[in-house]
Amino acid sequence: MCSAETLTKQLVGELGGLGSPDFRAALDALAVAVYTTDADGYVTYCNPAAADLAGRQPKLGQDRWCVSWKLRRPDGSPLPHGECPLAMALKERQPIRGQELVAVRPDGSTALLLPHPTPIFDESGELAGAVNLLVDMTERKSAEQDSRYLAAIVESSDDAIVAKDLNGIITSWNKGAERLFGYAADEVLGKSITVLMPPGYENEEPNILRRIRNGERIDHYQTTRRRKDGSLVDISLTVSPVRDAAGRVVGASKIARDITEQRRAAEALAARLREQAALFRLTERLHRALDIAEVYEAALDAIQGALGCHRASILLFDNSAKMRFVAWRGLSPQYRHAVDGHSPWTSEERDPQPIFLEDIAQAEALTALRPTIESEGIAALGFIPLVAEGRLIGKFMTYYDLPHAFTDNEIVLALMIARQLGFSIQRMRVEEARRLAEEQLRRNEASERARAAELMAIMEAVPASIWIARTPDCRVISGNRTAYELLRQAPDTNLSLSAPAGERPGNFRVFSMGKMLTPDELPVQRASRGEEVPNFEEEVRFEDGTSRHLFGNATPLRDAAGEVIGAVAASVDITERKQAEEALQESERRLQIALEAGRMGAWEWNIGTGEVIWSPGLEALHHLEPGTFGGTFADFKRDIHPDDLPFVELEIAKAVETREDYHIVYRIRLAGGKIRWMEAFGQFSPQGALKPGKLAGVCMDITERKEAEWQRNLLVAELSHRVKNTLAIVSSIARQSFSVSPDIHEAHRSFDARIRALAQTHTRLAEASWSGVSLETVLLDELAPYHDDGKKNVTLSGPPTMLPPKYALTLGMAAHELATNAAKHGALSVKAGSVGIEWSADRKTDRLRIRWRESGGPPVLAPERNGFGRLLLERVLASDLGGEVQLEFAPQGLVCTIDIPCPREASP
Amino acid sequence: MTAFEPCRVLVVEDEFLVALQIEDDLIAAGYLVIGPFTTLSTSIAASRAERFDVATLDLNLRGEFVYPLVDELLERNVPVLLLTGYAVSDLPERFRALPRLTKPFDGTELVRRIKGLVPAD
Repeated sequence: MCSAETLTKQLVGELGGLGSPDFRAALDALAVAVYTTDADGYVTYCNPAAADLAGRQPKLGQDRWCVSWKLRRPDGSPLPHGECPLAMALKERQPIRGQELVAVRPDGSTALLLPHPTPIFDESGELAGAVNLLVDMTERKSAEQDSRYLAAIVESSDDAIVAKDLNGIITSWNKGAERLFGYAADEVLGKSITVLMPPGYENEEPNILRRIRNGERIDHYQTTRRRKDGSLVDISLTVSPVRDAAGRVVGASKIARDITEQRRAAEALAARLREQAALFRLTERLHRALDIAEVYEAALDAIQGALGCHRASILLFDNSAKMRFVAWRGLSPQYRHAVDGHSPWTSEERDPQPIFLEDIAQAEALTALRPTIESEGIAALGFIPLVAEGRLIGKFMTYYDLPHAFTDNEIVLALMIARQLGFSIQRMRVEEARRLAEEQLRRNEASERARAAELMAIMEAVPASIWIARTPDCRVISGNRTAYELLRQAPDTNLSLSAPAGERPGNFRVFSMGKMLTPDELPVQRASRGEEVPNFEEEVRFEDGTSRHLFGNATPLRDAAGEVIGAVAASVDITERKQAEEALQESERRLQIALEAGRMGAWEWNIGTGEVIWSPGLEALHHLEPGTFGGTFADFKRDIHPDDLPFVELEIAKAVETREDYHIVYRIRLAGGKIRWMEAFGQFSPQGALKPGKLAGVCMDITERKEAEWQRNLLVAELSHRVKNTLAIVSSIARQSFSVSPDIHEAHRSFDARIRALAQTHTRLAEASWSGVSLETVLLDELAPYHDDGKKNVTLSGPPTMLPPKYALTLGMAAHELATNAAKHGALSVKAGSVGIEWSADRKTDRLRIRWRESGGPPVLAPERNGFGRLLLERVLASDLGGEVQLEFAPQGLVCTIDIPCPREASP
Repeated sequence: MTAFEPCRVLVVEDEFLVALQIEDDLIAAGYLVIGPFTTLSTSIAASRAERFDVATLDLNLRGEFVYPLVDELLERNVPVLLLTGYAVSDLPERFRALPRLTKPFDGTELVRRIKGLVPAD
C-alpha cells in the first residue's frame, strides 16, 4: 500500500493521460477519495470514493475548490471553500500538506479529512489545475483522543483509582485516591497498599491479591479503609487484573468509591422501608379491621413501629366534646385519670396542627400537668390531631422516655398515621351507623313484610271492596276478593274501565246521582290525578238490570317524593241500607203525604190524669198554632159542634167502658164559625191494674170527603130529578099530542118529531155538560131539515146568545112547533118561501127579542083551533120563561115575536 | 068545605107541561086548581094569599128548593103532596115521612093520593 504522498505524485505524473479511459477507470476503482480541478479551482473530476466521503455527488464545472458541502476547521469554526487547502495550493502554486479540516455532509454528519492538494502544471510549466487526495482521518483521530480522554478521566475521577503490582506495591495513585484517602501520590507510590487497611482487615489484601493472580476480577466489594487521618471510610472496591502484552497478570488496578453517604442513604432507605412497611401494615390492618378495637391496635402498633416511641395512646371526643382515652400502651391508670379530658384543642378547632414537646423539662405550656407527666417517666410528648371529614375527632399521643427531637420525617409519618387512623375511625363509625341502619332496615323490612302480609290478609278478608291502581293512568286496576265478587269478575281480571277495549270489564256501568260516569269520573281515576275523593256514593249497574250501591273513599298513592303513582279506593256495599233507607223514606214520605193529604192528626187521652195530647197535625186541623192546645178533655170538647157533642161523649164513654175500638164522625166548629167534619179512630190501651189506661188514636178532617159525598149525592139527585122531570114532560107532550089530533097517525108523527126535537136539545146540552147551548144552534137544529139546496130559504141573524138548559129546552120545543108548522102550512111548504129569524138583546130592559118572520108562502089563514104548537108558544113560553109571545097571522106570512128575559149566563 | 064548593088544590110546578097535565087531571076529577106557580117566591106569596085545602109541591123550582114553603104549610097543617124526581134519601130527613109522588106519575094515582089527603066529608 502506498502513502497518500506517493499516490498524489503518481496521479500528478499520470495526469497527462487523465482523459484516457483506462486511467479514469483506475481512478474510479480507487478506494481513496480523489478529485481534480482546473486552474480556476472548478471541479473537473471526482471519483466515487470522494463522492462517498463528501456524502454528495459534486457538480462538475460548477463546484469550486472542494467537493464537500461545507467545511469547518478542526476547532469547529467555518472554513470558506475559497480558503481551503486546495484553493491555497492553486494560489500558492505548490502542494499544501498537514492542514486538517472537517467536511460536513448534507446529512449533517462530519468527516475529519487530511487533504493532499497538489497543483498540476502542463509541459510548458503553466498551471493546468490541481488534484486533491482526501484521507479520512476520522478513525485514526478518535483512537488518539480515547487515550487522552482516559487519562483525563482517570485524573479527574471522583473515584480513587489505584494501580498496584502483585506484591501490593502502589504503582499509580490518582487525584480521587488523594481525596479519598488523604495521601498525596508521592506519599504512597512505591508503598504497600496495606497502609490503607484498618485493624481487622489485614487478611483482605492477601485474598484480593490471590484472586487477582488467578485472573479474577473483584466487583463492588464493600469494605472499610483507613484514611491518612486515621478515620475510617466505607468504600466499594472494584479490583481488576492488569496484564502485559503477553497476557500475564502483572498487577491490579483498584477503583475505590466512598460509600459512606451511600450507606447512610441505604440505612435511611431501610428506615423508610420499615416505616413504609409499618404504614402499609397499618393500612392493611385498618382495611381488614372489623371493629374499632382492631383499628386502635393496628394504629398503636403503627405509631410505635414507625415513630419509635415507647408509649402511645389514642383519645377521642366523647358526646360531650371531652377528649377521652380509648386505647393506650404503657400508661398507668393514675396518669390516664389525671390527664383524661385534657386537650390542646376544642372539638370546634379548625385545622389543628400537631404539637411536639421535645423536652418536658423545658416545656413552658405544661405547668399543672408537668409533675404528673414527669412522674409517669415521660420526657417528650407528641400530640397529633385526628381529623375526619374536616372535623377534629380526637388525637393520638406519642410518649418518649427521653427527650426526643421530632424529625420532619416523623412528623410526616405521624400525620400520615393520623390521617389513616382518623379515616378508619370515621369509617368504623360510618360502618357502625350503616350496620345499625341496616339492622334497623332489616328489622323494618321484616316488620314491613309482616305488615304487608297482614295488610294483604286484611285486604282479602274485609267485606269492603278495595281497588288499587298502580299507575296514574289507571289502565290496570286490581282488587281484593270482595271487589272481584262484587263486580262479578274472576280474580286477577282487570277491573279498570279505563283499560283499552277488550281488556276492560263489560258487565257493569257506574252511575252517580242517576248519571252514568265516564271512566275519568270514577273515584280511583280521580284520586290517581291527585284528588282526595271522600265519601263517594255510586251505583254499579249490571247487565242483568240489578245494581249495587257503594259508599267509600278514594285516595292517591304517592311515592317517597310525593309524586302520585296510583290510587286506592275502598268502599262498602250499602245497597241493603240504601234500599232500607229508601223504603223508610218512602214510607215516611207516604205517611207524611197520607197525614197531610188525609188531613190527619194524632191524639192521646190519659183517662186517669185527664191529660189530652194532640199532635201538631191535629192542632192544625183545629186551626190552632202548634203547642197552643190546652191539653184537657174540656179543651177537646169546646170545639165540638153542640149538636154532635152528646153523641161524641156517649161514644167515648162507651169505648172506655167496653174497651172496644172507638170510631166516630162529628163536626167541629172552628173559631171563625166554620164547620169541619172530623172522623176519629181510637183504641183503648190498658196501663196496668191500678191505672185507668189511655185512649189513643188518630183524627182526620173529612170535610172535603163529606162535601164530595154531598156533591155527588146532589148530582145523582139532580140527574134523577132531570130524568124524571123529562119523562114527566114527555108524558105531558104525549097527552097533548094525542088528545088534540083526531088523526092518530098524524098524532104519532107529531109526537115522534117532538120527542126527537127534545132529545136533540138534550144531546146538545149533554155535549156541553149541561152548561148551555147557543140560540143559533137550537134554531138551526130545528130548521136544517127544511133547508133548500142553497140554504137560502132560512136566514138567521143575531148576536151570539147562550141559552141555559131550561131556555134551550123550551125554545127548542117552540122552534120545533114553528118549523113544523111552516113546513106543513107556511113559507117552508113552497119553494119560493123563506123564513128569516132575527134576535137582539135589549140591555136596558134586559129582554131578548126573537122575531120569526115567514114570507113567500101560501096565503096565511088564522088557525081554526088552538093546537099543541100554539099552547106551547103562548102558555109554556110565558110560564116557563116568563116571556110574552105574539103570533101575527099576516097575509105575507106568519110573524112570531118572542120576548123573554135575557138568559143569565148558564150556571149549573 | 061544602058540597058545592070543590076542593081547592095549590099546584106548584115549574115545568109548565107537567103543570098542565096535573091541572087537567085535577080538573077532570072535580078539583079546583090554584096555580100552577112556577117559582118559590110566587108560590109562597100565593100560599099566603089563596085559600086551598091541599098542595102539590114540586121540590125543585128552577134550582130553588121548595122546603121553606113546605115548612110553612106543615106549620099551618096544610096537607102536602111532594111531587119529585128525587129519591127519598135525597130529601132532608124531616120531609122523608111526607106523602110523596115520584115523577113521572099517573093522573089517577095523583087524584087518589089527593083524595087520601083531603077526605071527602
